[in-house]
Amino acid sequence: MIQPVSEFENEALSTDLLPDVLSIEYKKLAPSYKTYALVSTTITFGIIFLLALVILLFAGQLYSFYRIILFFAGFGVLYVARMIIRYYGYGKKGYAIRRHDVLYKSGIWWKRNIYIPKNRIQHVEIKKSPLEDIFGLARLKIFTAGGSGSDMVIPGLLPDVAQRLKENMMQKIADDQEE
Amino acid sequence: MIKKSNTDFSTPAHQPLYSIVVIFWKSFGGIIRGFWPLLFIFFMNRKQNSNWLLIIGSVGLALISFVFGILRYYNFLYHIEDKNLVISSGLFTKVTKNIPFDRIQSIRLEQKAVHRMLNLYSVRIDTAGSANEEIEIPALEHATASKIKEYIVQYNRSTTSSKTTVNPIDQADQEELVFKLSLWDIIKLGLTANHIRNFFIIVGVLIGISTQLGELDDKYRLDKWVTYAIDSGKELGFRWEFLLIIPAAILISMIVSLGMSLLKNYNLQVRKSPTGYRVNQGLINRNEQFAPYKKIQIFKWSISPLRRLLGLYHVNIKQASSVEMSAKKSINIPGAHIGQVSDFLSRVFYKSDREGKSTFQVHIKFLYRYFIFLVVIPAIAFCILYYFFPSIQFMILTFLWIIFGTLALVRYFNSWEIWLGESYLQLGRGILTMSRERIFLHKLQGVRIHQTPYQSRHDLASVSVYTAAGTLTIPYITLSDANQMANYFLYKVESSRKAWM
Repeated sequence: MIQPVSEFENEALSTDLLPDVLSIEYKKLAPSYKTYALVSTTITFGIIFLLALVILLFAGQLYSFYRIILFFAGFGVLYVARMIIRYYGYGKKGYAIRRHDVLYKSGIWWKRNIYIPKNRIQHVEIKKSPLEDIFGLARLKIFTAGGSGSDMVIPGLLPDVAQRLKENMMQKIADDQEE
Repeated sequence: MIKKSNTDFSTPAHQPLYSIVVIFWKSFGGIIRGFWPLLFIFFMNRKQNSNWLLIIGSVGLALISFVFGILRYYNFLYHIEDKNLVISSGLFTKVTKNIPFDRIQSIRLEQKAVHRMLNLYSVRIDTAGSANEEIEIPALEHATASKIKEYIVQYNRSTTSSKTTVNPIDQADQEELVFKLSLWDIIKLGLTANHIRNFFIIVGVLIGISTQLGELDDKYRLDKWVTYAIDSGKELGFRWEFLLIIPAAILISMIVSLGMSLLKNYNLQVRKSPTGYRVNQGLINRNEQFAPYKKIQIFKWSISPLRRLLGLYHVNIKQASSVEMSAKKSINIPGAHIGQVSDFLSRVFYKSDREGKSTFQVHIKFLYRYFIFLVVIPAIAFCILYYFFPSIQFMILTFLWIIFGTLALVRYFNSWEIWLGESYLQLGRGILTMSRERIFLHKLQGVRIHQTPYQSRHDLASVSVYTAAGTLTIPYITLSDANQMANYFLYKVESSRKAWM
């Protein structure tokens, strides 16, 4: 496979000595996030389903038994697929807070790892939708100057955990200011 | 207990009670904006007897806005905590924002018509990352609003002496001319511009003009001229003289390119000062831009095959953009020689050229993957089309696609350069026009490693690095290299005390 062609190791600081993102143990999201994800998917699909049903009925497209079955089956397949993805997606999501950075990973097939250094955080927000509130969850959004691609969202946190994480990040920013 | 107002902002406070009017107005506006297509249909379709509906609808709308306004008012709290501005808001979804003082770029007090009637002000806050994020306190009395502003401005002034930038005008005498574009350079640039692209731009403009004129008088319509030309061409049969069209098109494109180059780049001068570069350019509109060294995020230089003959590089300097400068700050210097490019580079990146560097290669699987996506799948699609509509054009198109697609892809793959220096990352690539981009590692905002299922199977990954002026992506390197890079990037950002802007 590919080797770094020239001496990556020969620098003042060997890469072996660097803190390694692989050795990090990611924390799982709160267990109730799994139920929350399934309920939220169900609600979204329910709304889309009803809208589609009303539109198709008014457009007179659901005139035969065959079409009705096709409509329900198509929707059912999409719904079940989405539910399965959300269910297994839970296990793949995780976050880690190190001394100097925040890490978040997600994705079953399309895997993503985002790393944000704490000294690049611009502002932080905690967000709670009514549904998240019911499940006792909150999400933490972290903004940088790197555009929307590098903004991080950690869903499925217990409110006090979210609050602690936020304070941790704010603390780091305050430390930067002192120095 | 929540106080109505407090002097040091230490406890969460509401906005003044009568600011409900402003919030109510905002809710109303929000509802109108959200539902205007529905409302429009409703008003267009109303029949007789629907005046009642109209009244009920309006009252309902006002009532909803009112309830939403009250909820918004009660959910909105702001205070200052530990050098942070904390804003809680939300109608149903509750949001608590923490904005550290030293991340705040600017604070503006604004008044819209509703604000003016009540003598209220909205406090708008810009941070470097807030381009798409609105951070504001919608309605405060002038005393409170200006006190908050003063509080934050005072704090930022007392802590960061480095933030006080020297007024660039004051140092005009310390400036030194480092680059100048002569008339001869501009002519060379005009002659070597991308003529194919310019030709299509000219055609586009002509079509635009002729459609407008064609509406006035039929004789200006372009399609008539085209059919006329084709018909007379058919009558005459093929003649070698027709090939003169090609040099004629190139000539026209050259003249137009020359004119555009002259207008834009006439007397282009780059001066360096202790704090940054100043660029002046333009024939009719003299345009001046200033790029402070510390705000420069991405340095890019590229060369097209034609310009390679003359050794003329195009330099593009991307700066951190914030809200005040609405457009992305980007400075273009065409027609630099390689010596001048490396001169710019060494000035922006200090001694980075003397650093050791590691090079990486894009994995061959990248080529295989994109060969399937960009060559094989379209070719199969063309073959299916050929099956249904057999014609020689499809055959030719398919063959051309396969040949040129493959050549371009192989060329693109082979052109990839990934250089990792001690303090910088440099990526180079291109099919015909080769371009290279270099960034400071300590100016990174975030790193992302992503893997498609195909990449996962082969232990490969792509790495995106985010800067305040754009994203660079390294495709298809081994996962272990990607992780090592991420470790190194984070180490560089976190150990650096240098400001990124």
